[in-house]
Amino acid sequence: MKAFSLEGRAALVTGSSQGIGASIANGLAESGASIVRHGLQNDPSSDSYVACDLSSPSAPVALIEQAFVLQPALDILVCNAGSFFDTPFLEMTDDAWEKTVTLNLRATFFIAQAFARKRVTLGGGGSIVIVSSTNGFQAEADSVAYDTSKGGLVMMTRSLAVSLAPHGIRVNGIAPGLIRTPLTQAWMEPRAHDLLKHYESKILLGKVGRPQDCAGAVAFLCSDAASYITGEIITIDGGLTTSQIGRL
Amino acid sequence: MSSTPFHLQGRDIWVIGGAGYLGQEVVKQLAQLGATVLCADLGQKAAEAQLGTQVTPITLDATDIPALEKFVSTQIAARSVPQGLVIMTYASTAKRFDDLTSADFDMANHGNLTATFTLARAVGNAMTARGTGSMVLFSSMYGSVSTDPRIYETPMNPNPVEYGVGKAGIQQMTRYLAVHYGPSGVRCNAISPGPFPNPNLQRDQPDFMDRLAQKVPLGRIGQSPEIAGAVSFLLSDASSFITGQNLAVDGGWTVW
Repeated sequence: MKAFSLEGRAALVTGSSQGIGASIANGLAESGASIVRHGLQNDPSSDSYVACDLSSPSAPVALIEQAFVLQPALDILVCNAGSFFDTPFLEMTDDAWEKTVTLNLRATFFIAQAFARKRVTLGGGGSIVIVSSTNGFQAEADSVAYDTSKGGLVMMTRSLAVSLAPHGIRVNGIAPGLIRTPLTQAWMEPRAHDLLKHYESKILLGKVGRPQDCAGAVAFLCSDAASYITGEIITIDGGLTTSQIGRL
Repeated sequence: MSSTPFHLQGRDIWVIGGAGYLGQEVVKQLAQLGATVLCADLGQKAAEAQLGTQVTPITLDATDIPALEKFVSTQIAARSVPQGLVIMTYASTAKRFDDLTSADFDMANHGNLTATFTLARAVGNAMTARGTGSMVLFSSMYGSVSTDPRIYETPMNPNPVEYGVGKAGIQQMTRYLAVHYGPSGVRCNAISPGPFPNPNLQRDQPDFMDRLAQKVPLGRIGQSPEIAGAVSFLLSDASSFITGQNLAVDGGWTVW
């Protein structure tokens, strides 16, 4: 089925050394795209990989430049890199806030800008997918900086869609709910041991998501099967946010 | 295609209202992805559409509730419980706001909401017994935002109130069904198409097409094949952790 194929396309997936990003990269590759992966540490097993810390001010532009060296016709960007630095709100530090907005918002903004500038010089076209979170529209206690940054990514997705539509670049997002990744494992461990049970009881489909549950939506959004879709955020949460998460 | 998560090989999918302008494109793509399809529509529409050997056409007036209930039980007996259900029927009048009677409004709500609910519950309950299934309901951008009367020039009638009211109801029905059926493994999502005017309107109202396109970030109206991908995606295993969602296929209409 040609409409869903990504043959001949090339994608950069930020934060793709593990978790959701790695599954997205695998899914795009399965649909036929060539992939440039990115992570914090070097990966000697891959020759199509860029290592950098996106919190550094010059890193977003440098990453895009290197990605276009590896794939000169790069036309898919998945902004997945992000993290969680929150502590209980009354104890939050300047540093934790800065780290959150620098990585989750600033880096995404300037990666998208550098990619779009490059695409425009190549005649336009292409697809961006931004990975936000159900925390972008459904609040959680003691997750204020993270929730704020993900809410920002929801609106960044819509606003970029409007700004880049004249250049034929579609911009969409996914909002994963609770997905089992190294990051969410680290988040759950120090917290109440029944946190996982609480969430599982709220997920209608009865299970925490797997990273690969996010891959299909991204591959779809990047493909011609989604050619009239822009500014959309597909929530992948097994129904978690369809009703209320509520108190633990 | 069976190697990708988007395939529908071995699935039986019912598309109600499947012989319309958008419905035909949906049915065609589902068949291309390997599904067998039961295509139901008014009169001889489904048979006349000639949608191929994988597609079984059938006559159904979804607003006739006894006929609808009989249709579901008969088809389950004949074909078994479907893996997918797509409901694309809708009801509205061509009347102006001040001419709409309360009977007209009731009639539209019956077609948009009561018929959809009856059908979705009958098939959803059957899917529950098997523990798997995916339903796709059709809302509209006009279920999320209002029509802009300024883009309609006399004698055109703005998209009528009962249409958007019904489509907004579909969005909430989707969330309710997702919550109700989720624990049974049955998913329910909605699609909200943007401007997909039919070919006659495109031919007769070129200026109106320009005014519609002006309201779309992508700068153009939708082409009918562009609706199909979202339906296929939501029916396929590629969306197996997605339920209760409303996916706009609107070129960005509802974003700004």
